[in-house]
Amino acid sequence: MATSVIEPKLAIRKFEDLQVGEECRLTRTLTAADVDAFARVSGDVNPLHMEDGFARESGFRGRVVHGVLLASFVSTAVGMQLPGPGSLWTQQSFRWRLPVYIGDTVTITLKITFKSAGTRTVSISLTAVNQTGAVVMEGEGAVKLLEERTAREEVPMNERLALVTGSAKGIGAAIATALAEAGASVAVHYHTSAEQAAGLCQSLENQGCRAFAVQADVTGPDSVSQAIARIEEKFGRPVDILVNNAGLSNRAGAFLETPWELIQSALDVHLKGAYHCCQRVLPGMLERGSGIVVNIGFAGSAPQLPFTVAKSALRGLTRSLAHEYGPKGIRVNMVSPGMVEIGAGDQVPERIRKLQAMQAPLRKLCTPRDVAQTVLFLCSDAGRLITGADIPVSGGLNPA
Amino acid sequence: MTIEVTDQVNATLFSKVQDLVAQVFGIPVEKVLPESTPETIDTWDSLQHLNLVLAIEQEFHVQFTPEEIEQLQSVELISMLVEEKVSACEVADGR
Repeated sequence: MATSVIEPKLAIRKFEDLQVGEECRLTRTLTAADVDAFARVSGDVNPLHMEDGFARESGFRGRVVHGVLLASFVSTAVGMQLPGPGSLWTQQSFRWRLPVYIGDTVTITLKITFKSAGTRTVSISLTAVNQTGAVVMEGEGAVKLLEERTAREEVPMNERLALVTGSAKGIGAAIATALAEAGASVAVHYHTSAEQAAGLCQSLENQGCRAFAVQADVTGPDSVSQAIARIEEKFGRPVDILVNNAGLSNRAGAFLETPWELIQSALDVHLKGAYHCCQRVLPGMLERGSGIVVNIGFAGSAPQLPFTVAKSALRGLTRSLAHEYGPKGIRVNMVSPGMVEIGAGDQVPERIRKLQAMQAPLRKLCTPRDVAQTVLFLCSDAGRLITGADIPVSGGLNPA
Repeated sequence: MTIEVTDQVNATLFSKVQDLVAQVFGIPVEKVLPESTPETIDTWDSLQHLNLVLAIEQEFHVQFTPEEIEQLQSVELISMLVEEKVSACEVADGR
């Protein structure tokens, strides 16, 4: 019976850990039982392998071991040692230099000669020697290290840190509340609404949630960076979820009456603000190989021009980031509310709100909670295959 | 047989790529045309695509990213990308 001198390693190697020049060795002593068993399996009962007398009369010193039986031990070395379990042997050449006889001890050496990171494949050289050191078989091959099929583990919500910009009130506050109630630690960002942000945090903490109010001007990179540093210090972990909700509404007007400054100020808050926040949190997400960004858009009709322009730009940023960072485990989506039923203090006239509601197939305006629940869905494991999407939360009244 | 190669692709480089494609896919070299694709070469399956990438990387001393590997959808596209990469290496080496 063949004997192995090397214990098989069942651990799956990381491709990155394989090194050019790395070697493995496998030693086997070939027995008559091995050759008989191989003859049964393969059906190759050539007398050169099976009959001692025939082999000797043919000029050999005894029964010759099947060349492919020897090659099968290369499969063992590839599959169990280098690269080992989880590898797929994609090509191999063999040159048999000398016959191997029953009783010979053969040592197979595999060596990595080239690594192809793009294909996760290594080229290997093969040399097999007998007990005298004579080369009996040589060749070259290639082996692909398969990627582990285990799904990327999502970080549980109660271990996540979420930053919701512009969350002292309105939609942002509803999103911060939903995330906090789902278990996440939440940073409630505000620009000028300090009192409301503090009130929301207090309310969440009273419910047993973890929340922290933080001030920043999202249009300034230093302000954003310092705020996020405070959040991460407070909770002792990097931001896992970023919701870019901060925005401003400015007066509606016809294009010819809209000065560029109004558009610029909308772009500054909606787009530049999201840009600075993403710039600050994405490196950490990349390092961990996971992260979620949700940008808040708009799906209503008859919008204000600067607001529409800024939200359209934010949609472009969403798609670009989703495309670029999807392969790195980061999901980027947009949630676009229609006209939102905010309640008292709403600047939109009652008649317009009722009209919007009547025009929507579901005959309802969306509430901050509707938006928050959609954001929560995208941040949960249920949304793990969604990226680059713009989900309207508008009762079916979608923009063209 | 003369192969028409686009201006963008160096004829010597294309000829090397052509040889590798023929060798990996087990077809006569004259069957390998710039417009050859997995649809026109029966043996160009996913496994042989992998072997072709490996052969090209070793021959030209270049490495492809997974995204680039997906873009290698014809012999001409392969040649063009290899040429881009080889030129980039030459610039980096100061040649």
